[in-house]
Amino acid sequence: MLLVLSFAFAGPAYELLRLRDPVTCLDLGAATPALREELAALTEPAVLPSSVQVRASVCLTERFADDPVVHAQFGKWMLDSERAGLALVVLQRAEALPRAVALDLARQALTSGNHRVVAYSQAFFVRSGEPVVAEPPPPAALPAP
Amino acid sequence: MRSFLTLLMLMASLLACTGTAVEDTRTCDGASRVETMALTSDKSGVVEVPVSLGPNDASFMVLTEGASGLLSTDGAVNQDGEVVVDWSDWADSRESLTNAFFASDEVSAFNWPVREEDGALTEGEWTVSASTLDDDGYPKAKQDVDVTVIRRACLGAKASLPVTIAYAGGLENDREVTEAVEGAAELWEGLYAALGVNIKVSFIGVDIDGSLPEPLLGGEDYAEVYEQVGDGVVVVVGNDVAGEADLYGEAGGIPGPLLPSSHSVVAVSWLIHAGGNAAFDDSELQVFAETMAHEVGHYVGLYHPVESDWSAWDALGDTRRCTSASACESALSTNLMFPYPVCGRNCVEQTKLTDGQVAVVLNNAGVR
Repeated sequence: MLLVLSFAFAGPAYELLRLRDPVTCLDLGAATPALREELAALTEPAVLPSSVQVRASVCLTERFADDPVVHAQFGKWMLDSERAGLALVVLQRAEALPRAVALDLARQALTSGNHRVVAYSQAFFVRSGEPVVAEPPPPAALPAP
Repeated sequence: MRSFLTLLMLMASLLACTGTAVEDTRTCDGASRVETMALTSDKSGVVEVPVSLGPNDASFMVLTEGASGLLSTDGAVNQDGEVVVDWSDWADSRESLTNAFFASDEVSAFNWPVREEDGALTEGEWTVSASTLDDDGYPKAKQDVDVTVIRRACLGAKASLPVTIAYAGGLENDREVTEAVEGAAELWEGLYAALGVNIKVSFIGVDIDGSLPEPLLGGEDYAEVYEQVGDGVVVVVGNDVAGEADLYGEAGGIPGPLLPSSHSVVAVSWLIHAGGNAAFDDSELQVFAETMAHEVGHYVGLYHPVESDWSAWDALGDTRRCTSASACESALSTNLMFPYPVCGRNCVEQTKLTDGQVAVVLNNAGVR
């Protein structure tokens, strides 16, 4: 972990994401070849200022919307109250993700212990026009007991 | 010889008395006088704005608005016809004095003086020149503009800046957010008070979306929000600012306009400051307070002492001209207007302004 963090703090993405001036996620791509790994490291709780964690999660959503590794990370945030801020960022930008992924994350978020994450999830369902509760699969598709 | 010396002493004492008497006649209550006028640019796209200055006036702001296309402010001439400031002296400079010299849509806000070294205002008829421009920045002739001139008297012992914090997106009903904002505002009040500026904060809710557009680029609801408040600086708190760019916050200008327009607010995001767990700790509250103070600092005329490419600076004599990250962090990391929070295991508190920076704040016509 220490190695990862020291890499992250020294990295070009960190240098850009801590700025008060506008920085786009596209700018970050030009700054570092290992963007996904650097952004993932910057979402760790030890990274200061903590605003960098939030901005890194924005750029993961914007730049790696189709990446299954990133989707798995998002799934963990939906259920972890200590990562609620990052879950909110993902839910706020869920339209950038593949629809099936977005719906899956939003459904996971409904079970979060954080009231704000639940509210953002519900707001996504309202925006998307999808039912809040997942339709159960037809009985024939259920695995045999 | 002795009688000659006595005469000299008498004259000196008379002069001293006269000097004191002149100062005593000024009414330094920070009061503002607002004048509006409708003008038309000439065939070169130039608008000459008359600014009549009285003995008490210590600063003024000229706001030019209303033309289709772009607007800029070009400079000022004093009562003796002397050029006090001219945009061309700053065009190629690596130092920044005011955004009024740059073309902007809807409104150009020019405050004078900016710095202590710009000198005090002198009584008489001044002229401020503005330009009406097309979308490519070329002069646009015969454009009708509305001009507002705010003249502010010299300040009394306690300068103050009225601030309204406006909650967007229903956040006024979110107790966790309002508690954090009130806590940050209290820290900000203390921070400015230590610098000699008292802010008077009030809170309202406004019926606009919680995803806030960049005030520098303009937000369609911001004019109405400022209209609702009608005075001072408005800080809008939302869930995020500028979408993907996800800013800590942004000011609508350097300086920002002191009348309703799409640029007339400072926008800040609560969510970005609350960090990965969306719950404020003391350190995050401190950075949130510093963001409010920093962005309002821009709104009242302050630039970053150094930009983050280390090759552009503010125009002040007492902020260090550093040219590298290590040198600038070493010299300026505690400065409120530093371009980013400086953190290791903890973040450095950024609460300081130089005397030159404080003078810029106090020269803003919005500070009374």
